[in-house]
Amino acid sequence: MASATGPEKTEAVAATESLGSELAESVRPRGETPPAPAPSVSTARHEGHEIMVTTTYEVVVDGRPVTARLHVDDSGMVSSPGLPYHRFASALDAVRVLVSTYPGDFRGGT
Amino acid sequence: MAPVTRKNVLRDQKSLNDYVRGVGLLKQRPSGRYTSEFNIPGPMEPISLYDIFVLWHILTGDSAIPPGGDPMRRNQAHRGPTFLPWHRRMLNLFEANLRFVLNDSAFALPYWDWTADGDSGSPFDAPVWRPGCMGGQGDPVSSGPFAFHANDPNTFSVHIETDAAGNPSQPDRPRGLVRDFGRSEPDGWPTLPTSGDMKAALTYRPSGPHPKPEDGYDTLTYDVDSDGFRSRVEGWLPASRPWMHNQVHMWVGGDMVPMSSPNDPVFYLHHCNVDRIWEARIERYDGRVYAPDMTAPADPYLGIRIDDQLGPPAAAGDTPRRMLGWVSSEHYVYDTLP
Ligand SMILES: [Cu+2]
Repeated sequence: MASATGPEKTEAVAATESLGSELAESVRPRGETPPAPAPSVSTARHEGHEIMVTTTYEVVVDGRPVTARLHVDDSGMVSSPGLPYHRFASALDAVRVLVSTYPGDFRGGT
Repeated sequence: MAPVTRKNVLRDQKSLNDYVRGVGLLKQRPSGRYTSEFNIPGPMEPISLYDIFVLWHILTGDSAIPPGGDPMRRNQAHRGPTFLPWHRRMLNLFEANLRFVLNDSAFALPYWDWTADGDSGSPFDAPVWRPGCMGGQGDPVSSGPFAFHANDPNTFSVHIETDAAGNPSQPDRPRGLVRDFGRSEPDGWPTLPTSGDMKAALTYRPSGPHPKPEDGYDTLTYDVDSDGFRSRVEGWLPASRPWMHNQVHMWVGGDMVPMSSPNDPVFYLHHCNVDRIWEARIERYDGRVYAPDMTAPADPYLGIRIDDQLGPPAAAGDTPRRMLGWVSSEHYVYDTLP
């Protein structure tokens, strides 16, 4: 059993501090533009054929394009990085929930 | 070192009290990092040790495997086989930090058995939400140890969040925690998982003609669409609706909804229960199996195979295999397994 001030504990804080600096180093340099919303790609083999379906959503709210990405998975369900535990049958529902979860990102509605 | 025992938060007042106190101490303790180092818009603010874990979770959730791939298909911590080992490791490091600030090497994280609440109709006033435990819902939460008191500089507050695109951001000023229980679809989910839902995940058996033992854990293509115990406990399958882990995030709502979900201290109690269910699967059904093994090609599976590195911190040398063996007489045990 380690003592109350044993090395095991300072190791935990040191590991968390080095985690912090490692994460900071991996962050995209300031000024580099974020990638445009990426398409979703689904692939399958069927009766000897190679199928590839690429989907890109273009979402506009109050006349402004939305940078939040919509992803469609192989089952056809839609998800978005701002709602990582949700999955939607409808892209409109996904945008509705984005708007109500992030009201600060969608100012200017009526 | 003797193993510590992770206990049900409702049946062990001491681990509850220590947890609450430890969270407060980690919130006060600086990490040495600042928001500007992560390109977080707004003023340059120091980041607490507690909030480094929030940021870690956000950045990991945006790190695709393979690199350059799609984090919504598979990332370092979610939507793939590393979901269970990655979060086991996150809990271990968080628990070790709590031991340090509490100056108590015997401290163990408590867990929240949400199936007990699911079985009793998912009440908003379940014991875990009482003021003497995690406090209830609200915008901001106004009861219990994480209630927001605007005039108290030491009040529990949220400093790191995400924008609608999932990028780390900070609120205009530190704000209170938000919980919004049992919203209906599509905003949230009206019920918590039941013990029957848990049993279905625990007893899942792959169907194919000659399943290998590890097929019960995960299968090709090891992503959000692949079948196995992992995707069932994470909550993607059966695909008709959310289950288990995802369902709990959606039921609690508020700050449990985005990738910054470790903002809510109940996150760790929730994931401790997910880890406990994984351990039950291992002990009662599968043994210590994981998929994929190292015969899976590095392209595109580097980073999820059993002996691959689990993302930062690299120095720790943690792999899925190491996490698989972590629960043992040397580390921690659970008071009961389902
Ligand atoms: Cu997570």
